[in-house]
Amino acid sequence: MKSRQINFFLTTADQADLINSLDPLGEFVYVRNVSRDGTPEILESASIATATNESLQIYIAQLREIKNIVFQRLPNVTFSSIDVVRSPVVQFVRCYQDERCIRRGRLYFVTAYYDRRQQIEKDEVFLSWARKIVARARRVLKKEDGSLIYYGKQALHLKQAGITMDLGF
Amino acid sequence: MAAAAAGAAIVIGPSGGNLGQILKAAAIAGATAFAFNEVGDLTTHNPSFGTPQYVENVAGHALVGCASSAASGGSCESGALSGAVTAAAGPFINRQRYGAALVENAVLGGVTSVAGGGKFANGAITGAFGYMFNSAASAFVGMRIGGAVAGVVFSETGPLDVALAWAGATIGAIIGDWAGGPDIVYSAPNPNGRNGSPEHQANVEDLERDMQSRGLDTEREVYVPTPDGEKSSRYIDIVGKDPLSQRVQESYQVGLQTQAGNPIAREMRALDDIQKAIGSRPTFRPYN
Repeated sequence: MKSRQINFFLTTADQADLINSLDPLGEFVYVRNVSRDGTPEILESASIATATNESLQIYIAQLREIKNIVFQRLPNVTFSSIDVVRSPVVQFVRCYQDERCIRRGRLYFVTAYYDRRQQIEKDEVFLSWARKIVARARRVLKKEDGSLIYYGKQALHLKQAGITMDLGF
Repeated sequence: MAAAAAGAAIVIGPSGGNLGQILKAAAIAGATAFAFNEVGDLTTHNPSFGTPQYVENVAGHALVGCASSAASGGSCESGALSGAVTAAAGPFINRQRYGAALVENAVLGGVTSVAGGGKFANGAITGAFGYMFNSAASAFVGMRIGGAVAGVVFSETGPLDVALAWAGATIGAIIGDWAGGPDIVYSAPNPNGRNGSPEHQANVEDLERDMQSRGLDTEREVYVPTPDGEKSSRYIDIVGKDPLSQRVQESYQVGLQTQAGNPIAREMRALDDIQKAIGSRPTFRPYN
């Protein structure tokens, strides 16, 4: 299996900036990571609602690819989850933030995987779009020297002010 | 290959030359760049010290170094030595920033070439190319741009050849690093090839379904900086996280085990690095 990813620390405001910067990259939607009926549940936006029980992990999918999203059945539960390996989606893990820390988020997508022992490359149109999503994030965010982790402007200020940037372990 | 322009600029730069020499050097540089990149593709580009891929990578660089040096009028032995030694040192010197690693590869290649009876410049080129086109493959696109520009500029400028060629190539590499794609391109580890194995993928999928059915979010190939480890970073195959806080609750590394039931050496080193970095050890799940 092959994949690409970018890891980052973002405040809610940084996240909004990132989301806005992605808008020009074509028609796409944000999708919940699970589904009750095995069809994609499209979110109104990717901004983090307060006082909610929604997962911070969502997916980004092109409108034209919605029908190609694959769900995997899970044992002993009534919902299914998006199969990130086989679906034409970019996983978007939004950053948790409280008064003490910001927890790592990321964009991640699979470029190739095994199916019946054959390696399958994902559709090049999807891959090209997904690479642009990640490349745009790289341009909007600032990379930490000597590391592969990126920061939003506000997160960087908070880091300098002593807020913990937590990898989540 | 377009990268040959970069090669031509660098190869000819130190000595100057006529059009015939430039074209010959360009052809050799292009072929050398291509061959180093192929060796990287076949051996995972930056294999860990002591692995079978590491041995193959060193041997491949020796072969390419030999052929490149001989084609340039040098000796096969000195070229092979430069290629092999810089590749062997790769796990230790290629973790640094692009510029520093490039210079160290060039110097090491040059010194080794002299020790083997060859020219410093030829060895330096072998070392630098080995790094640029094998290890630092992410800078490849940038090298094409910068190298091409440098190659064109070089033919008009005479004494400034070296500085311009080098600057062009370096700027190109930075451009490539910036625009050439995401900074982390991950292929699952696999003793049988560089793209993971069906068994590895299937085991990770089992763990994924199990954790998701228990209400956890899952992330695959989780990046962990390991500055004090054998490698500067590692990837945990899969973790389960609390959906709201995104704190990791469970982590798993899937790999091969020995007959005694322990993770194989490569997996053990990865687990050690991760434990040192995050303070806990992922659960190991063997698939053989």
